[in-house]
Amino acid sequence: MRHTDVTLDNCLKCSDCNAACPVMTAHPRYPGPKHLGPELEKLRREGLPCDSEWLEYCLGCERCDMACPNQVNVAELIARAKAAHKKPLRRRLRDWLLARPGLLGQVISLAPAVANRVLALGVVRRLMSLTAGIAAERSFPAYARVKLAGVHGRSRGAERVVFFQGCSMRYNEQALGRDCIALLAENGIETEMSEAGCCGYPALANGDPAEARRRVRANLELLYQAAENGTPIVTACTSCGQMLKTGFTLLLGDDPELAAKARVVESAVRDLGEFLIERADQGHLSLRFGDCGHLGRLAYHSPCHQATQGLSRPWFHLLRMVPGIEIEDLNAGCCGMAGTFGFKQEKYPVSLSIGQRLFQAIAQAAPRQVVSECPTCRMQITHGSGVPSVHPATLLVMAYEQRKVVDGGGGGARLAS
Amino acid sequence: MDRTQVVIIGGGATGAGILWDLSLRGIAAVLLEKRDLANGATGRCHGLLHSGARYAVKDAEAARECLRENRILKTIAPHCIHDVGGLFVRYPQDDPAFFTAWDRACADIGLPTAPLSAAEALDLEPNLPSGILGASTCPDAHVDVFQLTLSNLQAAVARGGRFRAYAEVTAIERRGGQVTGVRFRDTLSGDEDSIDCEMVVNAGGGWAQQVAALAGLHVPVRCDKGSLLVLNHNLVTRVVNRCRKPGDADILVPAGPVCILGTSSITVSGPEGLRAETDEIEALLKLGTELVPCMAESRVLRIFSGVRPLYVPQGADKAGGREISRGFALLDHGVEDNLDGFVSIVGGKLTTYRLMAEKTCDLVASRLGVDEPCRTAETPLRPPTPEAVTRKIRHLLPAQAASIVERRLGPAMAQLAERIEADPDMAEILCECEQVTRAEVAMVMAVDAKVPVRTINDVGRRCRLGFGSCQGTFCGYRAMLEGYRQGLWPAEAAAADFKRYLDERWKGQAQIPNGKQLEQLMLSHDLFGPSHHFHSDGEG
Amino acid sequence: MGRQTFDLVVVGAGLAGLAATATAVAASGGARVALVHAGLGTFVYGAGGVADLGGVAADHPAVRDFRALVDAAGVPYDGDLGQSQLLPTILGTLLPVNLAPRSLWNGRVRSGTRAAVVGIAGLSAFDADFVAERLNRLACGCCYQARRIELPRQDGLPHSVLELANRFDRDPAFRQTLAEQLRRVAADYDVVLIPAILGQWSDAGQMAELETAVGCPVAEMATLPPSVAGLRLSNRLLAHLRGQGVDIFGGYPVTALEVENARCRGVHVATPGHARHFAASAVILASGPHSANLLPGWSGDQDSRRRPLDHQGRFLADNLYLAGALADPEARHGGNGRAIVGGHGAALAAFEREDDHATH
Repeated sequence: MRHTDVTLDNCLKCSDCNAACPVMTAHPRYPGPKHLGPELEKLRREGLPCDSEWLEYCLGCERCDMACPNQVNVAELIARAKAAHKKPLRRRLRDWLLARPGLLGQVISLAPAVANRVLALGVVRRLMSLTAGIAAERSFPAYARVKLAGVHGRSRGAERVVFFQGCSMRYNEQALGRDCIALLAENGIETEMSEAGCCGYPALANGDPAEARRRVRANLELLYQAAENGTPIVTACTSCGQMLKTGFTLLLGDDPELAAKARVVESAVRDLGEFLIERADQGHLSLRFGDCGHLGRLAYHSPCHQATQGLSRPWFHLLRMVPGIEIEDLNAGCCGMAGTFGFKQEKYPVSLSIGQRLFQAIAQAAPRQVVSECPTCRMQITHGSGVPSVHPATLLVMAYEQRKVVDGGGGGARLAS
Repeated sequence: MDRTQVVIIGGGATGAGILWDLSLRGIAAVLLEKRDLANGATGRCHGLLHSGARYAVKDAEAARECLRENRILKTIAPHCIHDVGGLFVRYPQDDPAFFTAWDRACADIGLPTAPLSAAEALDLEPNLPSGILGASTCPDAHVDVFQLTLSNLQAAVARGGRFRAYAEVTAIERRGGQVTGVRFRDTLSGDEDSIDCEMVVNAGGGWAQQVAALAGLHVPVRCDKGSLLVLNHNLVTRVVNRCRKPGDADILVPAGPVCILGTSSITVSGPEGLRAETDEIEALLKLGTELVPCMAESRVLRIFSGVRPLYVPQGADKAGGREISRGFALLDHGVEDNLDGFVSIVGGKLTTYRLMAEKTCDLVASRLGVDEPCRTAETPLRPPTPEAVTRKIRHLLPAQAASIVERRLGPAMAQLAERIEADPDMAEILCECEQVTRAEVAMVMAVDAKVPVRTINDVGRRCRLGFGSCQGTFCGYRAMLEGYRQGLWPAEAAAADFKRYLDERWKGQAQIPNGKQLEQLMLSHDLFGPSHHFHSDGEG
Repeated sequence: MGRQTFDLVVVGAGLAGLAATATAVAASGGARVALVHAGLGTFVYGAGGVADLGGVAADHPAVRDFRALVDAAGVPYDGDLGQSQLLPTILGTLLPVNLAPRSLWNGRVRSGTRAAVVGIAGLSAFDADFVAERLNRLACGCCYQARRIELPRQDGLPHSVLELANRFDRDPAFRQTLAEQLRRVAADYDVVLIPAILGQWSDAGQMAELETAVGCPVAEMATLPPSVAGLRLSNRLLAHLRGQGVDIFGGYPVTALEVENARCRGVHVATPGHARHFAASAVILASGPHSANLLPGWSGDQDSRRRPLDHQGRFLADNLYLAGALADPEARHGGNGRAIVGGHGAALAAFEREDDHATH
């Protein structure tokens, strides 16, 4: 590996990363980020045979990086090393598939009605658990045939954003996609649904950097022009956001020409919450919210990949602008789902165990709904706590709608002063 | 009164090699070392096992000698050698005439080299600067100097040889023109003792002059200081030599998980109190950055200096350090100074330590009337490791820890396995950088170890504990406690030794100009100073 | 570049930065405060004890406010600012402190007490015999005896302080076993000393529960890093401040201060994708001794309001303040007291009326 990244040298062996690691709380044998990252990296570079079995237990939550006082890219060192790890055939096949949620989505959405019914069958889930190593306890999200495409919310002179949907929205949560469009339209912004496919994060997390590289390479071309024109690239998924802000350089940085393009795209990417809170900061957010007291108690969970983007719960702040909303910031750590991690049979117990702290906090807060912007966090929250979960964009749209109901419909966006 | 046939003074590679050679010939010998093994030049060099390519142009004979010894050591001591291979890299700023001279000289000697294009070299070593003109391979390697010395000592002890560390010779006894014994002092306890013997071998290296003076003799040795930098990880995976007339900082050796850049060359008055000067360090780093540009941002773990003990025969002491032949000299003081039974072996280099020992022991054997030939060139330093033992350790330890300890312990892994099986807690890693287990530390600390330890530093020389990024801040503490649990030292002595250990480690880091190790040093100061009121470095 | 606006941006999550943030939140009443930090502060490597207030009086408001902060965060301190006390350490030494988190303060040397130093089988990072043997040689008037307990292992593995702390946090059965084991030892002693393993997140209530179950005070001794005592303090203070509405941006360093016409407009943070800009009415720099490079032209001096001065004695910016080891190198060695006083002072200065433009 070319020595472009010397953060390995920054490690002081202080173990702040280990203290922050969710997996270390839940798996007694997990050796922790300090060992798997900088410590083993030195030995890997020496060419020694190194244990790699624990690499795939890294969630990629990057809490280690956030805790590190010396900016060691612990999670990146682990992610890079994952590629060299040889898995048994069955897990290799499964992870090959999980690395390609886009492919899965494309296939299933050919006949979603059938697929959804089949995937919901207990016998199928047990079969998947036996043959493919998918935790039988998990239910698959429902797939839909329709896809969101094209430009929405057109109006003269409107600002435009390019919207990066991500696999979850594209195949499972089109309703959320429409909420995001509505939310932006309410603020006078037209939304161009990008054709870009999977962000590549699942591939990277599943130790398949070649596939990840293919994904980001394709997306780079699809997103570059917009970014070059100064159009913001917005996403409502925190893990997609994290990948879109860092993955192009990570995977394509070796090529100087692509690296330059990568930086252009990465700097144009905004989390939707980030995008809106910054507009609010400048007085450009519509505050035409109706009272949402009827929603009852809400609890907010901030996904790990929000903090890793250098954000501080923008959606929480946005929701608190809505009159009548009663919302508590849970601040109870990682949910343990980590994208595809929690689907894996052998990792399922660890995944749930990590989430215990969060589930307890939810039980204590006793909310009617838990709000979180990450699709897989929401899956885990509902699975682990039994409380329904919702994307904050959906609530904000409801708040706008509520106002329209009160106003008797009509009424354009009013900007905050 | 203790007796032996031969007393060897100096526990470097040469002294240890002599002890092993004599023991193989059935000659009783005791090695006295005033500190611990490999404390002098042996432990303070690159650890480069020369292929001879470095000397090919200037001194074909020295080069041939290196090539022969290189091949011998790779056969008899493979566990001490990382056979990583070497590159002679052609930098655009260097003299092209030397490149051709080097090619020709290597061919003449029969040194196996292969030319690489710049692209091929960069493919192998991506951290080389992109502007290089090309490179050639050569059979250079890294030799773990501590392991090599230790293995010689262990092999010798198994054959009846004896090693005493912290034994400083205070007098060489003579009766008329014959050596009769030595007196020595334990430098840790202060106890005095003596040994009667028929012969004394001065293998004092940089201290050879002082040792000879104890017998009232003069051995002309010039001390040439070389300073080296240890970098935190492998910037290169092969030995990188700059293909030019030998100069400062033109060799970078991957030494296990770290790599070592050196050296400078400065004549000094003696082997003690060595210290790298600030401008010396800066010059090394600047040249190192020419060798491998990313060195500029890389973390320097430690800076150390050693002396090349150069033998200066009468009338030849005018030239500068590098111009003196690196060849060695064997002085029979019976012939030269009318003191029978006293022999000095001076000069030489690490790669030829075995040959130096062979020549010395040939002389000693003939003086003692022993007719055994040297067998060190054919006898492995360590018996092979039974497959079952390796398998067991691979089962008990993580892959990386197993592969590292395999090299260090070999067949002795059987005892390691026993300890871990008796108490699985002993599989815990105490030194993370070097993957040293509690069990290995306990073995090193065992009272019946062939080469026993008396300080935490000694533990490091046996198993590399504390050689990594923390420089003993965390693992030194753990080793201290392990020694306490093993009964090696009581609490107060343990704490006192740990303070000395920290002092020494802090000193080694304090000169580093590059900020990253400074952070580590400050962490160490803070932990043991303000946080635990254990020890402070006197800065306030 | 992303942009957000705050009334105050505090840089650094060491005790100086945390104290500054807390003081600002309390003093300002609803101000928007951001805490930007690149990883945890160095105080987490220790016990969090407080000594050396840098010459201010023991009843200084900084101390009062700090104690109110740690109380509210669930990690109360005990102590006596008038007189320092000695805490036993895992190296068998005595560390003088004035204040310490309660679980550590419990272990202070009190003449005539009998203390059990409790080792845990399988935890090699702490040796009770070593500690007791050394402490007894110091003849401080206490009698230390080494004892040993067994705690259930996970998968038969040796223990580590983090593993024990995480289990303390997560597993009520583990807490109960620990209490039972300690109670068996505690019968003959006035206090039990254990390595700091009582949770990364535990609060005073859980500590009190443990002590009730054990039947005598339980005192922790900070270990070498990871030091659970220090981590707990950091975790709880950060969580508390977040609960107070502070926006915490962790993990990325501030790369530059935006200073214009002797006014600091905000800070640049090297976040992924695009650097973010936090505009601020005031900035407190408490990011440690290595952040001097953020202050070009700084002479190393500061004015009475903790503002960095240039070589002509003018402040670099009228709304930029220093705290912690950057401002006061002694703070690094001073046992946290100077950091707390400095952070407090900087926050008050930041919210004072800006009536002394004359100094510029």
